[in-house]
Amino acid sequence: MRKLKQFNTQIASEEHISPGVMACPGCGGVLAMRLILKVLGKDVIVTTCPSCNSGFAQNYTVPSVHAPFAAVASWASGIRAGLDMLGDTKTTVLAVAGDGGTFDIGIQALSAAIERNENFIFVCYDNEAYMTTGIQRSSATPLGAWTATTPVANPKGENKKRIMDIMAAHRIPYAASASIGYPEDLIYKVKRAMQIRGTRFLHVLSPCPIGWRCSQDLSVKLSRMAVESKIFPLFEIVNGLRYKVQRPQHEIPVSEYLRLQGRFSHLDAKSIDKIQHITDREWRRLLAKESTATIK
Amino acid sequence: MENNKVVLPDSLLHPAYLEPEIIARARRKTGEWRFLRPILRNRTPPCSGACPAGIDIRQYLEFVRKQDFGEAWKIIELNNPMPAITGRVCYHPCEVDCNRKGLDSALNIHSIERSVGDFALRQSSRRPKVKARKEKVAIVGSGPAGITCGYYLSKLGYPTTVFEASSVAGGMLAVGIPEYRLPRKILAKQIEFLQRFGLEIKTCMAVGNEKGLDDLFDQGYLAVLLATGYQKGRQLNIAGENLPGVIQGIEFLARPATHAQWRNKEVVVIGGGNVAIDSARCALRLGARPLILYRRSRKEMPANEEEAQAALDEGVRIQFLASPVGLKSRNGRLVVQCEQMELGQKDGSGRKQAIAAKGPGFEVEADAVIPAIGQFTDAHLYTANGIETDGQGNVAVDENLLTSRKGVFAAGDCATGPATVALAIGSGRKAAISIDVYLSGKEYPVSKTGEIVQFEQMNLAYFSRQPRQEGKSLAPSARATSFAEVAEGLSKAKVVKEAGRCMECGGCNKCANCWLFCPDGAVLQDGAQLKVALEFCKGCGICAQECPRGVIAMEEETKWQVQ
Ligand SMILES: Cc1cc2nc3c(=O)[nH]c(=O)nc-3n(C[C@H](O)[C@H](O)[C@H](O)COP(=O)(O)OP(=O)(O)OC[C@H]3O[C@@H](n4cnc5c(N)ncnc54)[C@H](O)[C@@H]3O)c2cc1C
Ligand SMILES: Cc1ncc(C[n+]2csc(CCOP(=O)(O)OP(=O)(O)O)c2C)c(N)n1
Ligand code: SF4
Ligand code: SF4
Ligand code: SF4
Ligand SMILES: [Mg+2]
Repeated sequence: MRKLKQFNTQIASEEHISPGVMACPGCGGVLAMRLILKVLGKDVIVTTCPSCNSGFAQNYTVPSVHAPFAAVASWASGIRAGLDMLGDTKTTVLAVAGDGGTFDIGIQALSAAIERNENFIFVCYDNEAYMTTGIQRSSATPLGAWTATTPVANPKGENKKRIMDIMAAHRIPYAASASIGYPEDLIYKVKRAMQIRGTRFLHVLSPCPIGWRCSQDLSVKLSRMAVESKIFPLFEIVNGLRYKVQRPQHEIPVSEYLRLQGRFSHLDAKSIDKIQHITDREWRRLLAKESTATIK
Repeated sequence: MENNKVVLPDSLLHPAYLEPEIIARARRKTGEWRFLRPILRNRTPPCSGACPAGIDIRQYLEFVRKQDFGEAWKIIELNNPMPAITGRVCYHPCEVDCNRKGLDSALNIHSIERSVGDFALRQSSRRPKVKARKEKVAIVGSGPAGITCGYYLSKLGYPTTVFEASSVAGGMLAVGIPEYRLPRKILAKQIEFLQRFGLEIKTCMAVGNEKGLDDLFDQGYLAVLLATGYQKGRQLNIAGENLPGVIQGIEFLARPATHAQWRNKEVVVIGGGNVAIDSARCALRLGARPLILYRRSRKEMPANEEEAQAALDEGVRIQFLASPVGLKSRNGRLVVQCEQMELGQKDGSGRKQAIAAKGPGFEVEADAVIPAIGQFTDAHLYTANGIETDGQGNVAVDENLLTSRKGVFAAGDCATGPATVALAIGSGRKAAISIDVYLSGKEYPVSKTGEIVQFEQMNLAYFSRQPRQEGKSLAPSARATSFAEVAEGLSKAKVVKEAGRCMECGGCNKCANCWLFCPDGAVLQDGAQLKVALEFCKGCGICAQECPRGVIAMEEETKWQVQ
């Protein structure tokens, strides 16, 4: 049994997002940020960029600065440099961007920062589209999904960009995927990231009831199902080479995950089979990477 | 650096775009957006909902997990003062409804209950002091209904006397349910325990038919409870029913030991209910070769499934679709003439009817025949005393168990028709409440009927499969020669482990999942309680969805409703 009861008492009760936050009801992204900020505590400076998180950041009780869309990783580098000049090693710098701000618009700044091994944590809360501006596709939007720019007649025809492979190719000190469906794991990964120097990347799936066309109460459940269906596996990569993959305790076919989301409701059995096939293939590839080099 | 403390410039804390009015807007009361409101409210688990005595199973299991059997007993005792008995003989409908069966298998509730009951019996049964009252109460019948009512009334201080026609106390617990399911030692201890508040039981004291109740009132009893049960076996209404060698199941079970001559003899039992199964299993223990004849098939048998299986395991044979139509004696033995049956349409009870098949019948030879096709009651005691019956022979009662005669109440089988020990206990307790209300002039307590948490309302992501702890039972081969108790019960370690399997359906155990998962941080830990900050809760329902136990309900906000 997942011992959440005992576990919950270990989570800081202090909140770093003041109530009345400008997030839609049931937002997975704000829940991810709420949990991450709890772990990071007070000694943190957040930098964020245009996204739903710009709205949440208004309620952060920790300092937060808003960067231009493409520049959040550059701003994080700069803030870190400033703190270092002040001799402050205690404060963590946290860059936060949506999938658009990470996979697409922010990727050059992020790539450059990792190449310099800038010392900050980068969180991509991935709601799989440009949500703030009205659900436009991003390169993180999954295959087959409806968005405002990939209508049902012509849903997204490309696979989700494999951001973790890009991170690994940079030989980044630490990269991990995490999920609000598994808060104990998410919190563990934030803690682990805090102990490492250099650029650290956390990829957190963050269901968006508005954009995913699903019921508002499903964000946590869908996050869990994404892991159980292996559409969004939980794993860690150390130095871009060594992998550790978590096997779901309970496995489900992708159809169960897709079925609950209106953005996939147009998919026929054949398309779902295709998604299942790709998911299985990617899962095997991930396990193969792990078997060549595991994290001890 | 000194103190490692950075004093941040104001501009960093308040970036330019965060104008005060934007902040003011951000701090708005997002609770105004809400369409649905989460309500944290404990609900009834299906186990308790199904328990005829209404035990708060979830709550006592919590104490069992903490190994606090004393507190667990206190919870059980609120509804059932004899868990050592019900833990053994109740057919445990709680387990049939237990939500856990949807995940792996139902909780072994009866074994835990038995263990708590045995614990209570081991404690000293010294007489606690109660404030004595002067109104005397008489109870007719010392079955579970009568003694439960008597226990609670004496605990309330009423001088209470039970009149029992038989030479032993306990009703069917003593003269029905066989020893191998309920050792008489346990029953004796239990009855002694129930008398610790001063309950008096007078055996060999039948309340006479005519004027029986008038006499009791004349003796100064202010209230009388009828708890007379169903004492007779129903007749087969076929020829030869009164031949020597034919004995009603109920009569046989009252004194099985007096039939030692059945050793190696053929005994035919007629019927498919619990009394038939018990009769066959008792005959087997006397060394006889029992054969049950039942009209319908295994699926329609009204007997408890576990009991029927135990009988088969022990070597009891059951012949289905056999309906006796006559009995005769031949060469000093009995012959049961049977009709071959087949299954037809479903009847009112939802079971398929047995209808005579075409073709010849058959005969079964036997040394003894035990009809066990149901019970029957002699309503004379009631009618002769001016008490109305419901037409089926049961005493007619209202929802508070009042009969048509002032000051007379009825509980247990005599009011419900033949039922179960747990129902008799629930009914006896209810009668105690009614009699207390009647004698003291207070109000009836408000009954709490909670909504039952369904399996679908549980979040299984927070539970994993764990095997059910099963107790050992006497090897079937050893049972053929002994009336020793078949079920051995669970060890204390296993009891505690099994209680750990309870999912606490509908009961908030402060796991704080709702607090953890609320995106808006709107669930607050307010001391030991959890509460929702309605100013900020947006009504997303994640808390309700992620509550493992179905404690949170989402209710519509009325302010949006069109008038
Ligand atoms: C063989 C058998 C096995 C059973 N097994 C189970 C089981 O395993 N589990 C289960 O839950 N249920 C079982 N039952 C059913 C259960 O025993 C009854 O439902 C339960 O005992 C009813 O309780 P009661 O107090 O209403 O009546 P009873 O237990 O029948 O007690 C009534 C008492 O009233 C006395 N009485 C009657 N008339 C008078 C009078 N005029 N004056 C004085 N005393 C009188 C009788 O002698 C008797 O002692 C079984 C029943 C039988 C017959
Ligand atoms: C350079 C630039 N281009 C476009 C925008 C408009 N814009 C603001 S937020 C946003 C979408 C952000 O999407 P994502 O990063 O996925 O975050 P989300 O809104 O989904 O949380 C866009 C396109 C902008 N602010 N700046
Ligand atoms: S799991 Fe526990 S609370 Fe739920 S029905 Fe079973 S015994 Fe009752
Ligand atoms: S999770 Fe939070 S915001 Fe959502 S309904 Fe529950 S208390 Fe309200
Ligand atoms: S989630 Fe846990 S703490 Fe919240 S109501 Fe349900 S049982 Fe209670
Ligand atoms: Mg996005």
